[in-house]
Amino acid sequence: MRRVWLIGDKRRAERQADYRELTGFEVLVSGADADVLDVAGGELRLLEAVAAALAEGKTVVVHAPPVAWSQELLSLHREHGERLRLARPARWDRRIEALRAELDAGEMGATAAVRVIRLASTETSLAEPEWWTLDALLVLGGAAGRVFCRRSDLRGETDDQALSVVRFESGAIGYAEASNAYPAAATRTVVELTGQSGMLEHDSLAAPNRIFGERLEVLEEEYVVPPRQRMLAGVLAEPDPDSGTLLALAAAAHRATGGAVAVEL
Amino acid sequence: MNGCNERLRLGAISFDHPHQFGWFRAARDLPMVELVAAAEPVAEQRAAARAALPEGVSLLADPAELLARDDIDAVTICSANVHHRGQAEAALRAGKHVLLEKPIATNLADATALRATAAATGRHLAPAYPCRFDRRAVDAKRRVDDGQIGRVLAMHATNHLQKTPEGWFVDPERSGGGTIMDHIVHGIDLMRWIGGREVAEIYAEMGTLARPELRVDDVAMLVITFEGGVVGSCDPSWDRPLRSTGWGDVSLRILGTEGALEFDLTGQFLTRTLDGEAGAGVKNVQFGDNMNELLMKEFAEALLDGRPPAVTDVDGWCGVACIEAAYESARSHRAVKVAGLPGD
Repeated sequence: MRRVWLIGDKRRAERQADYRELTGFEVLVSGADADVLDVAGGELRLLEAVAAALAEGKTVVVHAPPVAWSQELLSLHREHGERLRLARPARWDRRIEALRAELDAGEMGATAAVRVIRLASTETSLAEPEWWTLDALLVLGGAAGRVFCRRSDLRGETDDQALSVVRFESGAIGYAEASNAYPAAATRTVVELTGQSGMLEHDSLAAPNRIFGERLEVLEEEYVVPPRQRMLAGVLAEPDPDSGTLLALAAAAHRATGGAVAVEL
Repeated sequence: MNGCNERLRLGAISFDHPHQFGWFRAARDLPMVELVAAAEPVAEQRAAARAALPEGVSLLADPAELLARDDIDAVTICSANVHHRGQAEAALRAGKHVLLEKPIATNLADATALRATAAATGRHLAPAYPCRFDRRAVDAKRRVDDGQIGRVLAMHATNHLQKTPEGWFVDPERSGGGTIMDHIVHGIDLMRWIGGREVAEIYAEMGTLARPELRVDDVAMLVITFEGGVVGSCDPSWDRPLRSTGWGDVSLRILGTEGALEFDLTGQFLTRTLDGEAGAGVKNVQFGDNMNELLMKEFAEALLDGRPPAVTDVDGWCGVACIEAAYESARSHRAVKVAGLPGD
């Protein structure tokens, strides 16, 4: 199986081990030597490339696309099924895996609320924390029935905060706060889950993996963010029916400005 | 009061809310306050009230009898929410200043009527928002006012509580509601006060989820839009486990153009871990400010100085406006505009 990356951002592309610059995505999309395309970036022509590759029968893995694309990606997912997959960042995060395992053990009782907060620096795209938080809600709370979202351009340039409130089909309430408007050097992640019999909580800022020097450095993210290869392999290793569920949640959130919107697959 | 009196002569009405005990302890230790009398109309609660009263302070059954006394300048009211308007209006009309447990009313019509009564009688009506007086909140406001984090962009508050509310708190006929009614006002008031912006719109989800047997909401999430484009949130849920190391939190995180600031008013504690049976386990032992004492001290000093208390009836009214908008949003699943102060 040959796997090829389509990356809109050249700086990001150059970090790929097998990076080589080509001109024109069409060359890759129509090339017969790629079975799987990994797509990352926010350029509109990438979305066109996703559609073209799916039409040619290829499998496409989309990495943190702009949430504004979610409705179109959902339509493509409905048309092409699991050949369109999301690289779901929270699903492969050890923290979320540990929280899910605790939930599955059954001692928390019915879930009352799930709160997920991810605060990133201005050097990060909002798409990264936004997909992370929505994915974490999906993993921990299950399918969503309705969602409200307030997106804001706090710094006056582009959207840099997304606050979502979700009503899960179970009746529990979810809260996702994603931002890339923070000045901190490290991404901060907070996850809280309350059940009728207990509570689970994690705050990466409170974790003990720190360096005290001229400034405080929190190393938590370096330890718990999944090895990239594990996520890349995992995305293709098994069917993921929740790519569509996550796209439906993101698409509904993107439309839900004046009031809640039903999440429809 | 014109500043001539040396001590504020204080009466207390109702011990429905346990904050009255905290205020009483605080008042007892403040040299500028003289406890004169208390009234507890609920017979079953009189023994506990009596035990809290210092020697020489009379305990009455009828609040009207207390209000008729001319040796009382101000009263603290800690009754179940639905009694707030009636008891506070009676006190104001009797010429007493009032420190009233939050929320000042269970609906905006009652809150508006209360403000009108305060204005007509020339007495002060202060809602009990003690969080404003904690030194961490005061310091945060100073830093924001000084521009240390630049222009405020976003504010996020939590005011969680263990799954402890019982009695009238979870009886909708007496409380008027659950966690939204009881717990959004502190976080929202801190954001209004420190951020210097009024709340414009609220979206809320609520449910009875941590204790499904209750008849009121116990989990809620609010997305809040403030005037000027600042966007934030408030989480007032009563969903902390009973075995939590602390009773809950009052936290605020503010993002500005130049930095971020956050605090938790319950965040000053040492951790005690005990083996054995009785009292075993892990518990947070708080050593932060006594907010009730600071609230009572400011209330008394303001009245003795002849000035309005720092937290006014306007702040109380705005809290009720947010409660009403949040409940309306939770019912309609729409973002709801928050009523503006009449006359503004």
